[in-house]
Amino acid sequence: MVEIRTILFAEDNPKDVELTLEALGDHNLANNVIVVRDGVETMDYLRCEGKYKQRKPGNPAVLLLDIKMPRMDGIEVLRAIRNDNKLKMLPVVMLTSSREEQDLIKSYELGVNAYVVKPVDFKEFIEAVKQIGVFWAVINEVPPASKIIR
Amino acid sequence: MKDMKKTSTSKSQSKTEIALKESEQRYRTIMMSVGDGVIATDSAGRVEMMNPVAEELTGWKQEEAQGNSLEKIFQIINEETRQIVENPVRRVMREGIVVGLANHSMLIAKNGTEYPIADSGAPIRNEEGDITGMVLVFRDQTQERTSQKALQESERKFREIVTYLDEGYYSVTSEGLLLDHNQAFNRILGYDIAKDLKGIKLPDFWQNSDERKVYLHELMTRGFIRNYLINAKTIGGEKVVVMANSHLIKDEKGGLIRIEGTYNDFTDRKRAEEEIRKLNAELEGRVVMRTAQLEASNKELEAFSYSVSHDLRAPLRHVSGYVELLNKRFQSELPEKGQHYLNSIGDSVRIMGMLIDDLLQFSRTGRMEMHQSDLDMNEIVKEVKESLCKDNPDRKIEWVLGKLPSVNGDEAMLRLVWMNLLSNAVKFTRTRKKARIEIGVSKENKELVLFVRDNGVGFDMQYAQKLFGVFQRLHPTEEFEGTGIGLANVHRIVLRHGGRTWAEAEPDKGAVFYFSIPNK
Repeated sequence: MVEIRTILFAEDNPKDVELTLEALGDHNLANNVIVVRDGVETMDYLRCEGKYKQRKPGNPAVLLLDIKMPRMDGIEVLRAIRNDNKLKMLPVVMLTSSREEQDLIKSYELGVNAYVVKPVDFKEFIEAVKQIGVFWAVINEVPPASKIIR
Repeated sequence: MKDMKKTSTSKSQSKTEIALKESEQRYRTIMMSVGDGVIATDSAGRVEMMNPVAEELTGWKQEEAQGNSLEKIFQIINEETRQIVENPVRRVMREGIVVGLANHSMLIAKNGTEYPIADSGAPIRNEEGDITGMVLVFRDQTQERTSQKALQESERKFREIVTYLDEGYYSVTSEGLLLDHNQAFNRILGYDIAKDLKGIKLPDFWQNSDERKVYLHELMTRGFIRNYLINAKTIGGEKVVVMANSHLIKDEKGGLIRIEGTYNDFTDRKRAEEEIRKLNAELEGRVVMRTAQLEASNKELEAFSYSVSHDLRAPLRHVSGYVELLNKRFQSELPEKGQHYLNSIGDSVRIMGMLIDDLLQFSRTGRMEMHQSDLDMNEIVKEVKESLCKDNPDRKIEWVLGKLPSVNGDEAMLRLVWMNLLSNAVKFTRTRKKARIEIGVSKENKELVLFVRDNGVGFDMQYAQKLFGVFQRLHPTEEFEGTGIGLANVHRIVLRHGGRTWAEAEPDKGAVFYFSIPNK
C-alpha cells in the first residue's frame, strides 16, 4: 500500500481551506492534512510549541504555505524555517493567489522548493492541488535523517 | 747787424707764425671733422668759416657764405608758430654768454628744406677779453625727434587705452601709495570718476583680511596673480566682487619697485551665477521631491495591484470552487434552469479572472523596469509568427515579412507588442478564406515606423481613437473574443520607448497598425 505522509497546510481563509481539502479529498489525501491558520501557528506546530506542545514529534513531509496571512506571513515563515537548524531541510511549497514578481524572487532566494499559483478555475485548481499532494506526500523522498510524522 | 737783427726778428716772428698756423690748422681739422655743424663769425656776426656738416645742413658753401650775416645763412624758425626765432648770434654778442637754442627750432636751408635742430652759441674772446666773434654749433635732430614723437605717440595711446579701459588699472608703490590709476579704478571702488587719486595711500578694500593675506602671499611668492576673485568693498562700504590680475615690477637687483594690476567688476556676474545656482538647487530640490512623490505613488500603485491580484482573485476562486462543488454534488437535484444559472456564473467568473489577469499584466508593463538593448526585430517577429502558427494549425495565412531594422528597446516588452499586433491580425482575419498579413517598415529616419497590415474585418475609423484604450473593443465578444487589453499594452510599451501608435482601417477591408520607435 502507498504510504501517505503528513501535509502541513498553512492557510488563513476557511473557504480556501475547505476547497483545498475538497480537492485533496478527491484523491484520498485529505486525512493526513494538518491545517494551521497563520504563520505563528505554523511555527508553533513545527517547533512543538504553544498548543502543539503535546503533539507527536517529527516533521511533516511538506508544508503548503500561503503567503498572505495575518500576524506572520508566508515569507517570514519560510525565512524562520531556513534559519532553523532542525527545520531548514523541510520541503516548502508556496501556494498562493497570484504570481507577484517580488514574492517569487524572495521565495526562491529563501530556498523555496516550489511556487504554485492557485488557478481561478476550480477544475484546474483541483488538478494543481492533486499534483502537489501526490508529489510531495507520496512520490518525493524526504530529506535524510529527518523524523517524519507517520 | 741790423739785417741780422731783422733776420732774427723775422725768424722769431715766423716761429710764432708757424706755431699759430699749426694751432689754427689743428682747430680747423677738428672743426672740419666733428659730426655737428660749426659756423664761426666775426664780431659783426658775419660768417667767417663753416665746416662741411654746416654746409650740408644750411645748403651754403663756405665761399658763398663768407662775409654774409649769420641770420641769412642760419635761418631758424619755431616749429609750431613758424615765427623767426632770435638768432643766437645776437644774444651771444649782446650778453657775452653761451646760449642754447629754444626747443622746437627748425633750420631752413637755402633750398627751403627744414631740419629740426638743437644748437648752442659761444662767444670768442681775444686776450683782452673782447668779443671778437662767435662760434655756433648745431646738429640735425630729425632722427631724435622722430623717435621722440613715436615714443610720445605710443605713450599717448597707452594712456588713452588705460584711461578709457573698462577694467580698473592701478600702479602702487610697495608701501601702497597710488602711483597711477584710471577712471574705471575710481568707478569700481566708488570714487568720483574724475578725481585724481595719485599719491594717496590706498584704503583696505578687502571684506576679509584673511583672504587678503592669502592673496598677498601668493602675489609675493609667484610674482603675479591671474583671474583672482576678490570679495571687496567700495569706499562707501558696498560689497563688490572683482576679478583681479596683478604683477610685481622689480629692479635689476630684484628689489620691489611697484605693483601693477587690473581688475574687473564681477559683482553682476557673480550675482547671476549665484542666482543660477540657487535656481538649480531649487530645481534639483523640486526634482527630488517630485521623484519621491512619484516613487510614493508608484509604491501605492504596486501595493494596489498586489492587493488586486491577491484579494480579487481569492473570492473569485471561491465562487468558481463552490459552483463546481454544487455541480458535482447536487447536479441531479437541480432543474435545467438552475443548471443554466450555474453555467452562467461559471462563465462570468472565467471572464472576470481574465480581466483581472489582463489588468495586472497591464499594470506590470507600466511598472516593469526597462532593460534596453539592440534587438533584431526580424528574429522576434519570426518567433512570434511561428508560435502563432503553432496555435492556429488550421489557418491558411500568407505571411509577407519585410526586412526590419534593429531597434533599441526592452526585449520582453517589444515581444509583447509584436505578439499583440500579430495575434490581433490572425484573429481578425479569421473570416477570410486566405488571410494575408504583412509586416514591414514604412519610415526610417529620425524615427522608425513599423507596421502590421492585414486583410481582415477592419473597423470604422470613427472609433479609431478608442482602439488603444484599456478594455476597449470594437467588435462583439461573440464574434471575436478578448478583453480589449492587447492594444492598450502595445500603446503603453511603445510610449515607454518614446514612440507613438496609430492605425488605419476600413470596415471589411483590413487594417494597418503602426508604431514608431525613436531611431538611435
